Amino acid sequence: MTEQRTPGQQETLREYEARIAALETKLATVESSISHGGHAGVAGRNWKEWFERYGLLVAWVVLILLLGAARPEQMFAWNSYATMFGSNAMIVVLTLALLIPLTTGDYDLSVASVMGLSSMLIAVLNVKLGWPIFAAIIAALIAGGLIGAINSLFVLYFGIHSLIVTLGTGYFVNGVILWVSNSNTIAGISMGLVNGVILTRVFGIPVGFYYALILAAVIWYVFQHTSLGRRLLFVGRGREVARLSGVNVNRLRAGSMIAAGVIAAFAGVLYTGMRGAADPSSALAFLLPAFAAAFLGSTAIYPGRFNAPGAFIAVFFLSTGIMGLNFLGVDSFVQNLFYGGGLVIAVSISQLIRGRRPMD
Amino acid sequence: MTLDLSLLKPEQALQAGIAYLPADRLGEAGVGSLSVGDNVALPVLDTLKSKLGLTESQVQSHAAALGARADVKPNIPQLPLAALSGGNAQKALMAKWLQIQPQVLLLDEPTQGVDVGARQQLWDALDQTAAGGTAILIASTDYEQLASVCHRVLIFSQGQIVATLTGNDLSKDLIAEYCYRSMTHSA
Repeated sequence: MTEQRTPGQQETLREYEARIAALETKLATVESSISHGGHAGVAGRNWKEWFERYGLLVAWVVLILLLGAARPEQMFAWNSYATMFGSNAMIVVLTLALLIPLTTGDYDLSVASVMGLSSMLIAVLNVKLGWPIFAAIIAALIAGGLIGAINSLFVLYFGIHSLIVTLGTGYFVNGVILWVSNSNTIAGISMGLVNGVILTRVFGIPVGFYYALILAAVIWYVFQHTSLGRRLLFVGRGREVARLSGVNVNRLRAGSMIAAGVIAAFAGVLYTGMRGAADPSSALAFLLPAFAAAFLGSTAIYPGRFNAPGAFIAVFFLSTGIMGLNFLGVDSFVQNLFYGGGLVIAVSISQLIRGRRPMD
Repeated sequence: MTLDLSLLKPEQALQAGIAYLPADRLGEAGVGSLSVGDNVALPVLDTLKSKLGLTESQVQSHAAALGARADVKPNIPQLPLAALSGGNAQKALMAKWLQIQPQVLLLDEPTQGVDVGARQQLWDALDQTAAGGTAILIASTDYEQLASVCHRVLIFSQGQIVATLTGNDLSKDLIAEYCYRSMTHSA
């Protein structure tokens, strides 16, 4: 080893080695304290990490308290929340549908249209053609998967950006909905579905909510605790890295788009069951709320990753705000302000916390 | 076994025991925004699984054990890969492939942007791997090192092999000479 010099002053080899040895010991202590579960980082950083993870939950509680101060008799009633949990179940499911392609780095703008198509297919098959409700639901789910497959064909085989493809297929599907329904609302869906989604209640909450909860838990498990979930994450963050590491990138991207289609169709099943009817256009209004919740959710629980528990909380954070504003008697246009503003502000705040690193 | 290289996909190559470590460390070899642990565990995820599935602590402790063997500093698998220095990131990414004990290891500029100390550690790790029976193919412009670590050096110019050096011919002076000679040809 040659003698090392630091600028400005000379250091003997022994001093240098002693300095390096001291640094090595310091590093070893840090490493061992981290591997033993403790966080060696300064307390301030630890606290910041905690706030990043649970900030959204804290904000939710603060929001409830603020709105509750103005309308306590409604905001502090379990019944309000039971109803809200039930009536937002399909937004949770639609958000979960979005999460999967977002994780693999693809946007799916067609999910709300698929939801509307699924809803309308069930109504047409069940009411007009007299299919049993179960068969109609299966057909709707298959149709959703089919649209996901068409999306993935254009994205992967022709190499077109998913934003463009799904913008187009979504609009195309809107046309199909108007066509099969003759632009009419169809009511009179089998009561079996209505019972199975909204009329049956557990702890006062319609069962539809629990379907969404179970689906969120399944997606959380797959993302967090399976090798498939890790591979999906690598596909989204570094396609080349994943491909060169032996991951079949195209198969996973196609699979995630098909899964998004099926889950979006399931959101349509819940939506139909909730109302006992289907109309040609109202499902389309859920696209932005789903995106807002997916991005807001990615700032919580596992910050920086699209994740199911975060999305779940984000949906109910946003809908609590809207419910409260409704209680205050604010006009319904406030929904648009809340969801649209929420999307941009949520992403901006998380960027500030993360030190303006680009979102990935 | 014969493989058609022009049609070979990375997936099939890995099944045949061929691993490739690209030169673009944070673009092709690893993902900078994901943790060192996630990056290192990617090829062996299926073997890390327990009954209840993959857990974060399994991934991190596996990566910590590999990192300790490869002398990654700091050996904290929770850090994002981009937080490591070039040399330490390369040690971790090399460990990612050495753990599957490939039959053929392809390396592209393995010591680019790596400091002197780490460079030696990388070469030592490769020596051990080669001694274990792995064939290692290195594409490098660092000809001084090639002379001391390789059994055979092929010099390329414009896609053609212009010289093959083995045994006593294998010296950094000769490598340099052939390199300059090929340049005058192409000029």
